[in-house]
Amino acid sequence: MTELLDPAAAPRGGMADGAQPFAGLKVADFTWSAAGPIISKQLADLGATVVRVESTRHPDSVRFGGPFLDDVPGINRSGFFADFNSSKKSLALNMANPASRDVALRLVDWADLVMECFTPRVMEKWGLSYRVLSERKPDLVMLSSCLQGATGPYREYAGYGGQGASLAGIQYVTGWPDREPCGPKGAYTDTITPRFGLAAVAAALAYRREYGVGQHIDLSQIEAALQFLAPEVVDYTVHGRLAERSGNRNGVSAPCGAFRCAGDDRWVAIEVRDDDDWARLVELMGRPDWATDDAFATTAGRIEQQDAVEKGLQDWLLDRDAYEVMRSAQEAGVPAAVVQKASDLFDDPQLAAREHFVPLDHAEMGVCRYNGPSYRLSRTPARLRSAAPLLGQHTDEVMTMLGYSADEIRALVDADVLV
Amino acid sequence: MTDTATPPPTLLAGLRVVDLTTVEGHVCGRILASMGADVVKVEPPGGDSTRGTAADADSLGAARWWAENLGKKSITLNLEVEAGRELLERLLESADVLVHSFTRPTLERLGIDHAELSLRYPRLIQAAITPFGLDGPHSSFEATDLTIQAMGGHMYVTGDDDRAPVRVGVPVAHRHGGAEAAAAISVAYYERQVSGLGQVIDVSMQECVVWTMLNTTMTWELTGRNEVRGGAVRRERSSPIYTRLVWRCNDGLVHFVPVGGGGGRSRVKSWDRLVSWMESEGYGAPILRAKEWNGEHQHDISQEEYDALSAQIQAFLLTKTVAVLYDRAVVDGLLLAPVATVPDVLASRQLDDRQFFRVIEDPALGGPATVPGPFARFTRTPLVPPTRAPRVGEHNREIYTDGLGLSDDELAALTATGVI
Repeated sequence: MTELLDPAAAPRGGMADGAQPFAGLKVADFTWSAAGPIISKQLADLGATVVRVESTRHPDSVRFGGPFLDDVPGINRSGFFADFNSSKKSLALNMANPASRDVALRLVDWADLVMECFTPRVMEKWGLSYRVLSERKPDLVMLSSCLQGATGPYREYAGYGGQGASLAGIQYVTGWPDREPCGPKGAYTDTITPRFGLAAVAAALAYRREYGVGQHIDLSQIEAALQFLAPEVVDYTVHGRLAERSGNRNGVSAPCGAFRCAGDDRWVAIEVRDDDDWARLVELMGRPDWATDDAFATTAGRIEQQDAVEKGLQDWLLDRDAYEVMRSAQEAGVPAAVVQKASDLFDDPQLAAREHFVPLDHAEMGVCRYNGPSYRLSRTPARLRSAAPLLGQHTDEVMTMLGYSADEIRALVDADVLV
Repeated sequence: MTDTATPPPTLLAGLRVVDLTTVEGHVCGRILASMGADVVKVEPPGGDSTRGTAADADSLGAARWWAENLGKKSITLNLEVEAGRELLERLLESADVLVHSFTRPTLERLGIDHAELSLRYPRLIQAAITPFGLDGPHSSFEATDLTIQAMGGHMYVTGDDDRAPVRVGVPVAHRHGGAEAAAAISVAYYERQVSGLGQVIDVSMQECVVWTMLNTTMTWELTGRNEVRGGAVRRERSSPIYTRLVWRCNDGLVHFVPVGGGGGRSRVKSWDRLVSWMESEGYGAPILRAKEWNGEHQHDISQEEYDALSAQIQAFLLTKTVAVLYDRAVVDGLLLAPVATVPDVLASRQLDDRQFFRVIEDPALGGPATVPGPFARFTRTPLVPPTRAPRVGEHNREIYTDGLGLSDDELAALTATGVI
């Protein structure tokens, strides 16, 4: 419990003095893609021993997803995979081979927590359903998280988080009213699910530690994502108002949008929350005639003439530097922010002060910067201990830990089990 | 927490949360309440300004306040005055968690000092949900959900490439921040079982947004390219070619990535099944089998080839309804989904079968409201069904009189002087 923390790995200003929250926790991680691995990544970064079960016979699809180092595809070259799998160990286990089940069961016997995010039939098919596993291990905590949940007519629906965003109503409300919905970037429900998944797992593990009771958690990624649409669902059912796409406008403040600045595809986002913000912005612009029009003095007036307000502001911004606009607007007290590109994030002084990006040395990809967590725990901070594993990098180590002899391991490799 | 050996019916039974959040952080306490925590929402006398006034009680803002404060208790307390802060201290004596969404300048004005509170209440878990984190050069920036989405990088990669970047259409920076805080509080609570100590949790909504891009930062890191935004047609996953995400069908829109999504066995299967289906209905153009579009050749597709291929797919999809396509997707593993509206979601057979949505009657709201049900199903400790949001100060008596032991006279005096 007194694992020494590397002071260099602690966030600046942290008073790290405690053992990591999940030190000693053992996790059998059958998840793949993004949502599941992002949960187990956090457990690992917070001290758990996480064994990621993979196979060269059926690799995690994000190992095939770009970006790849130097644009050269390769099973151990995906940044998409790397970012979600820091601090984990990789066991190459061919689950399609029935002989793998004994290894999987010994891994489950070792584990406190089993995680998976297949559709329900997969663990059932492998003889690893919660029903089976909890008979062996009654205090097991098991998280299952597929797109639509473990029950219901669409439980076997296969899909990624882009489909999730679409099914949960997020895609429809994102984009311009006069165009097809662009939706958020990427597998968006994979970014919502982990927050609920981590809360669920941590609370269930605390409950288990307190009362010795395990349980199964069925986390539908759509149902988790729909928590984020609760106000829109209430508004529709009570008032009949349908949430629609509105670009960057939000109906309660104006101007509210992203405006082009000088440079290559440079934009600044500005939201004028109230009339005081507007007065500050008008001062900042040097009180141009159009802006001092009384019609724009109130939020209601600015909303009514949004096109004109946005055009005036856009004209003023067009030749200005986005960062300089942000600086001067913030100094005046107006919410303004550069629409940052990925490259900007690596230069962002705030993210730097929080040491958000963590350089880790990967066996094939070398040193690259991973995303650290969005929270800082003052006493027991997360610590990204190692880069993502190569597929099967820790097979020998894990198998030895599970009590297999060198001969047994070799035989299982030859039998197409440990591949 | 209770010391009883009988397992309680909820995960966080007995956990006492003092919730000082404003609208930016409401989701956190909502999630903790659903796990069984006793969440006391602290509002200024007269109530949160974001509750909505009588004049705009039917605004989305009012619906948002209500939906994000289900299952909480409400007390009123003026933190701007000394007597109010003294009462807060008394509340913290029996609290496990303090959560707020104040930036450093506000904390200082209110005299809330995390380090001091940690000394006084060593078991107290303190969580701050702020746009950029408690400290650092941008920590005092004025921010709204829009500007956080911008600073976190997601906005740049969202939207049509011939227009300005766009936000995700609901205030996700706030909602991610609140959910992330609930997760981190659960972690700190688990840790406290061993150490007996609380700690300070500092959540940055900007960092939460960075995490919503998934592979965008790694794309820059590994290839030196910034991902560009795309709409219904886009360059997915830093792909060199434009691929289509939203397709028209006979009666609506579907989200579908038949080709260009990054490969993997499920994409190969989805493609094979689509091709077989198209061929069986006379849409079997030779180009469908000209390449292994999701296999070996997935990184070697020209725009011309893709456009020719997608024209065939589009022609076929136009002959089908959303419902037919969705049902087929379930059976065949097509990676296709309806682009659902709120009423579509409410009509979902799957969610209906799982009895996901709940209806809450609250006269204050003007009609029955449907709300999302549990975020997860737990076999031993089901989440607490949502109950209506509290009235302003509805639990003043329970908390101040029964909880802190104030007399009726004291309560009346504090009310009269504007403390409560």
